[in-house]
Amino acid sequence: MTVTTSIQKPQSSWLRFLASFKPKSLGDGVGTGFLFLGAWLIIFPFVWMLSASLKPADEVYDSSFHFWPQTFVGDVNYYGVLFDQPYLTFLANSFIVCAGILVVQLVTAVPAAYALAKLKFRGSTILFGFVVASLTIPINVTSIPIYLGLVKVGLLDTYFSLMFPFFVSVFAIFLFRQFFKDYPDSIIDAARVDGFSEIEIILRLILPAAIPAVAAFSVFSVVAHWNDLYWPLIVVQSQEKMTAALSMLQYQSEFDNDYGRTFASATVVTLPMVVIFLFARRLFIRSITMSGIKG
Amino acid sequence: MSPTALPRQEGGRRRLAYLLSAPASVLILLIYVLPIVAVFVISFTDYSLVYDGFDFVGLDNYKQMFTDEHFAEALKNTLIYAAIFIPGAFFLPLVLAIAIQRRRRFRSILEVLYFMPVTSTLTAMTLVWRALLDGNQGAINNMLVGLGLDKVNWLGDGDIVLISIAMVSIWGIIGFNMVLFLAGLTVIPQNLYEAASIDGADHPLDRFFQVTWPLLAPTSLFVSVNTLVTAFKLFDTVAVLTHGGPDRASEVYLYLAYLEGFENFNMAYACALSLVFLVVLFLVAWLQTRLGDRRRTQA
Amino acid sequence: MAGLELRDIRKSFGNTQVLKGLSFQIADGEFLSLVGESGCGKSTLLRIISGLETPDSGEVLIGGGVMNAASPKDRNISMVFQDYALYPHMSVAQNISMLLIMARLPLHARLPLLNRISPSARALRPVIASEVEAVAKQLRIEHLLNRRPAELSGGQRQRVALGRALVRHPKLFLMDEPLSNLDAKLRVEVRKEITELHQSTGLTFVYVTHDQTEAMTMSHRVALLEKGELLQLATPSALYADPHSVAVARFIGSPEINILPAEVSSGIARLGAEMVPGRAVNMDGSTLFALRPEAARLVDRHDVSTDFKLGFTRHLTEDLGHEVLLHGTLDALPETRFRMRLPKTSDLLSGTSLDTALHVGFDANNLLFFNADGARLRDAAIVAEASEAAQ
Ligand SMILES: Nc1ncnc2c1ncn2[C@@H]1O[C@H](COP(=O)(O)OP(=O)(O)OP(=O)(O)O)[C@@H](O)[C@H]1O
Ligand SMILES: [Mg+2]
Repeated sequence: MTVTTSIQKPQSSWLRFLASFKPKSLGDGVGTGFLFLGAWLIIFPFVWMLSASLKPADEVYDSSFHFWPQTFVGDVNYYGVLFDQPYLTFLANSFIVCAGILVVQLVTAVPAAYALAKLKFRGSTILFGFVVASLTIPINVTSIPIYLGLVKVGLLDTYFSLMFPFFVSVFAIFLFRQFFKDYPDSIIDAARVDGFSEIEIILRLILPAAIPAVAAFSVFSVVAHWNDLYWPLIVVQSQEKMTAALSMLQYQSEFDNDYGRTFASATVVTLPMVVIFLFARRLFIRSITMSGIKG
Repeated sequence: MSPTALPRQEGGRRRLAYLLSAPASVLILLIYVLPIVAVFVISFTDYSLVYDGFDFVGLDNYKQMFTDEHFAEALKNTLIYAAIFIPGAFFLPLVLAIAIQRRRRFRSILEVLYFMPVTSTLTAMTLVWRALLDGNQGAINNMLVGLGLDKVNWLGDGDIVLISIAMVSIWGIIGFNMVLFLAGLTVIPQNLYEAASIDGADHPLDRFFQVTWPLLAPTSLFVSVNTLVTAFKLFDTVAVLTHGGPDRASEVYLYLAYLEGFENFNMAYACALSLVFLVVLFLVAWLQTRLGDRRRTQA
Repeated sequence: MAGLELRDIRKSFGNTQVLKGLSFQIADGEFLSLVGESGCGKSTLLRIISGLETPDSGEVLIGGGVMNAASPKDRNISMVFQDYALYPHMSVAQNISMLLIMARLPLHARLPLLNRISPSARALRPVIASEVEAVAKQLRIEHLLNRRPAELSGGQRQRVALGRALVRHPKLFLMDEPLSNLDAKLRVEVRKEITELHQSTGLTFVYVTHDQTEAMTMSHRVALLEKGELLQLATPSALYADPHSVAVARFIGSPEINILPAEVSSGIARLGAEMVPGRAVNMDGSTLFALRPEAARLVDRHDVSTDFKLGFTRHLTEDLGHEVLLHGTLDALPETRFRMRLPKTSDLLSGTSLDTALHVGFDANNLLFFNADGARLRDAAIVAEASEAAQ
């Protein structure tokens, strides 16, 4: 008495899609609807910005919102931002500052973290104590003495002054130390037995293994300094050294009422990080969850 | 291997350690240790960038806080802002993370969308928010009018401006905290939920309170501390959106410290303000480790 | 009344069919083991019985009632998970009492804070505590009630998991490889305890394992699954002595049964080049002869007491003290491994080396026959008439 229930294969993928909506998933559907509604609210400012950047000034504040402008001036707006205004300089400044900070941070943090994790030396506990204590100290607290020091040596309004307070990242040292600690000692010892010098061990074993952590930290660092407003606001005095994030503050005075171009510039400033995010989503997420291990 | 080889190697390794940690050590000294000492010292003087020379004035700068109504105002504004911002910045991402984690379809696209504000340059987006929140012609008020409601003076009304700023900040942090919660949720073993459903805990509230919430505790602690500190550190949004206005109604602690230090050049008073701020941060960090330790010994 | 009945259970994940129409019944109070290779669908089946997973089609009946639509808590079942799934943030007592709290308190009395002031919660607390204590006493874990799972040994956790399952007084007790995380010695001990538990409670047990010793020693009956299909469901001795297929014969018994490919044509069977004495009845073409390692013995070259006598080349000897295992090949089938299990006292082995020519003898009625697809040939036999006629 074998009962053969013929299992009908859904003919096409959309039929299977329909079949997957069981009564239970109705509630799910409503939930998904709400989630997308929330997501729309979240990205609406981006949509609005993009739309405004394509419009002439008098259309930006129209009472009814149309994504596509009635008079398209996107080309004019973006041309103006990039070539009439010094935005290329601002972007370049931000880029130089972020890159400079990142390079020095990595060059100082990786060796120090390795020393703290794997080498015994006097003062290591004290150094690590300072690292942990400094994790809590934000730039807002130390800004005055550092500013005064930069005034004294006459380095205000330079790339150096923009980068200097961030040359050492105690967060990076902490993070990499944690990472290196997990690297098996036996491999390092085996390499020593094989005649690797300590430098070779760092360059050929530790660094390659640290690449994921370094990549995630790099994303973290670049985003933080691309978006930073506080420190540039303090040390930048001229247009030549203005960073992209800081340049947004120029529009707080109402003197520029070419609104379309304003939002074209906002788009230009925001775009690099968003593009990096879309291409390196995993890294972004990892850089955030990594910060969680601090706790 | 000769008997002397080992100690020599050890010594070499120690020298290497000093070499490796020297740059970072010097920079920590220059960027953290010396400035903190300087902040401490300056806070007991009447130093100002615009005058030469200075005198030690003891605790005057700290006493001034008690009489400075701007200080009281800034403190009050910061606390009100934190009281609005923190619950929203904690519970919205928590609910979103739980809702998103359950579904297979759409999960990654939703993650991307909610995360967008985190990656964006806050100063630029604040510019957009200023346009959206504009009292006369902003998109939000247009929508309210469309729904038959009254316009709200989002940025011009001293009673509302902190709510508006909190809204913008919550918008900016939702994705960040959501990602942290998602990471915390994924490490909760699935079979605990199965055991719970066999034990009869299949009501969503039971699942949440019996399994999710207790097991999410480490993440929640981290998120709440992080959010608290973020609340105290509010600066960018105020600087772009309101300048502390209208009439100092949105002047928060760090913005006041900035104004005193770099607009009024009251460096000494600003240093005292900074130091108080740092003490609060250290207290928070200390509390975090205490709570974390208690949890660990309980577990 | 059937303790559990499954009717044509099917389940697929995406495009892979994991369960392909399983049907069987087990009696009230019976102990059934589900065994099979890793990935054959044991856990999936157990989860379908428990209601954690819904089948694509088919019916699950527990105690006579169709349970397909019932949620896990309404099926009156208990489940012990492979890694126990104890709530790490709760004490042992809280772990065990979770079910009682869920079953007896209304929702509002279970929520944090409210549960402290709810009168019903306060009234029930001592009752629940005494029930938890009773279960703890039964499992000898009273002294652990205030600890958390992280502070327990593996065996203690195992017992807490059992306690959590017992406190419900279920109709059906489900266990998914509950011993696999214990070390070998503890495993034997807990195995015994679970058997005793089954006897003292009289509950219906479904026990998943891929350890055949566990399955054979603990259960009334064993269900052998392969790739989502039920190969055979029978008592341990029936599975051993009377397997329905080569797969079953292979799975049960250690060392593994010897499978010898044979060619049969017009009543004459050959193992490789060697002709088998006797007439092969009811088989034809390519056939498989199967012989348990202990059914073979060493014989003297001139011995005539056995039906079969074949040359054997030994590759390896494993001396276990009370018995000896020989691994090698029959000279007739140099490609096929042949294993023998001998009592220690085989004098034919003393003084021999690996090169010594040995002979294997066995009786025709110890052979099992299967066709080339592995299905059992029940009425096949080797009858001795041919050789008698020759004499
Ligand atoms: N949720 C799932 N999604 C997709 N495939 C699954 C899922 N659960 C199980 N499978 C697949 O179903 C098959 C059977 O899995 P199951 O866990 O039932 O095996 P098992 O017999 O318990 O194996 P083991 O002895 O290793 O525990 C496996 O091939 C597995 O990969
Ligand atoms: Mg399994």
